[in-house]
Amino acid sequence: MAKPLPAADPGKTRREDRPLVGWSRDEHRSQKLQDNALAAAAGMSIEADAFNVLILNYTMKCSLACDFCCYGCTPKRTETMSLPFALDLVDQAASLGVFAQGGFTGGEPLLFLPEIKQIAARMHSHGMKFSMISACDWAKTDEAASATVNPLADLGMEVLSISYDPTHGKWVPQDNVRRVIAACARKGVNVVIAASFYSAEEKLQHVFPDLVGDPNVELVNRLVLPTGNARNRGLSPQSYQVELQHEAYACYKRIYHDLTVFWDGEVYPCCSVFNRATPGLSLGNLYERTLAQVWDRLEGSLMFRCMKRQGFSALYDTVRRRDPSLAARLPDPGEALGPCELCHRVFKDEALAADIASVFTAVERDRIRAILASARNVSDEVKIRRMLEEAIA
Amino acid sequence: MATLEDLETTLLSNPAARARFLADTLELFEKNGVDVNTAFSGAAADSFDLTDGARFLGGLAASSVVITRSSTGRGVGDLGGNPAASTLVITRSSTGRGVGDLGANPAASTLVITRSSTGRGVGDLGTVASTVVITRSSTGRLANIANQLKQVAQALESESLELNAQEEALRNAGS
Repeated sequence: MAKPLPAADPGKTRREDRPLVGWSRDEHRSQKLQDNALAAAAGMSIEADAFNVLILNYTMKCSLACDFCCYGCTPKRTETMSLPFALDLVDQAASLGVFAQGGFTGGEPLLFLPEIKQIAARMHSHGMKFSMISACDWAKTDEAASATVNPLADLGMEVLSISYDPTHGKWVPQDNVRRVIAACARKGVNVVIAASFYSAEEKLQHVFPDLVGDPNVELVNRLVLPTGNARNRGLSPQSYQVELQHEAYACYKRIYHDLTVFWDGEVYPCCSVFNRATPGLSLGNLYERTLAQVWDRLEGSLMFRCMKRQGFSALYDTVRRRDPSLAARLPDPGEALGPCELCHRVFKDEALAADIASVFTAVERDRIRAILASARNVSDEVKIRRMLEEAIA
Repeated sequence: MATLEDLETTLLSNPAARARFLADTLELFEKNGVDVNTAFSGAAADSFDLTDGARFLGGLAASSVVITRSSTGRGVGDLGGNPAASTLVITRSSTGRGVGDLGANPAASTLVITRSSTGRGVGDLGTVASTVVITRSSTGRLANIANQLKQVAQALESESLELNAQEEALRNAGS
């Protein structure tokens, strides 16, 4: 085991103290276009969780201090979401009508179990299930495991994703993981164990051979990506000796969205480990914009649709066609360890991100003109006027 | 009063309105009584997506049969609260392959059935169905589709869907 860390004190937090954004309960959206797109997209690899998730990255505080942690979480971090803000977001999500699930991540969200239960209860009142990501440091006994899992399961926790690998294992015994699996099994909660390895040869199946084939447990193996202190380790497809098909890189969620909100209100379109380090991906701040506005920005964005539904090759092609000089500034996809790192390489540079966005804005405008031209062929002025007024309102 | 051109200019210059317009285009048209099938048939439909992800930017390989349950004048996504809706509409993918092409490859493979409800994705199988999507791998057989249709019927039995006619339609289309 590693050198003991100081206790993560949930009483020491730093939270946003800003007024909540005003929003209208009439803002309801339809998921029809997304469902139609999914229906038409057969033949491509589609996300297993084909629905929208509102993910709350509740805290940067964590009981552990993993070297590759994408957010540099440790026991000493204090940044934590304000509870009224989280509850308001859940209400907005329910009112908007496009989110099937909520999600919690961090840091270690279960350091704040009483607050998480309040938020989960609010989700439950709206009929929203939720998922949870945790390192399970808290499951030191069977009783402790049940005391955390049971109330969350009763409030609608569908999946508990346990972060466990040799790095997490420096602080969290395997027995904790097994206790949580048992507690989840008793409550019918599915478990995912997600690991990040420094070698493509290492697998969770070697760590937990007895869990292979367990219908309630999914084992997910990933490579450590260049995040946190792992940025300085020279990680690349070459260092891992893996061949990646960068031509097929696309977002992990092709139709729907894992909208991820941080403690300070910043919101990103995905749960990528690079999201926070990729300012060009930010959709704004939910202390300043409503969830409906952010949703429209995401779902209406041609650039995001291109990255998600067609992939990064299509994005590169579009930029190449419209602005060859800008295309020359795009990073080499072959150097990225997967689509998320490629996305990070493209959008971490805010100037480059803004220029790409400008290209897609021009495409968007052309597309809107084409839509309006088609509409004028079959519709009268009054209807088109009404439609435009509705869009602009 | 602003002219149509003024409104269009405002829309094109306002990123939030532009995004909203692109996101909600189909709904906006439908709500305002525009026949989207007429408005966007033909060549123009290939340049932007309204109802079809494959057409949205083009290039997605699709080989699907999509069965959506719809009632007159209502979109597929609106059906969650109307269990009495009973019309079954069979559409097909946009890759130029007809339903009859689905049996062309004899190496049968997987057929996936999912359904969705308003406000939820198709991955959520436990709620009231509003959309039934049947997709198959590129090597499916028509007989498998018929079998899977029966499973859909079982899944939706409380909603009294009459799938036999559609099953027959699929068989005829493939013969």
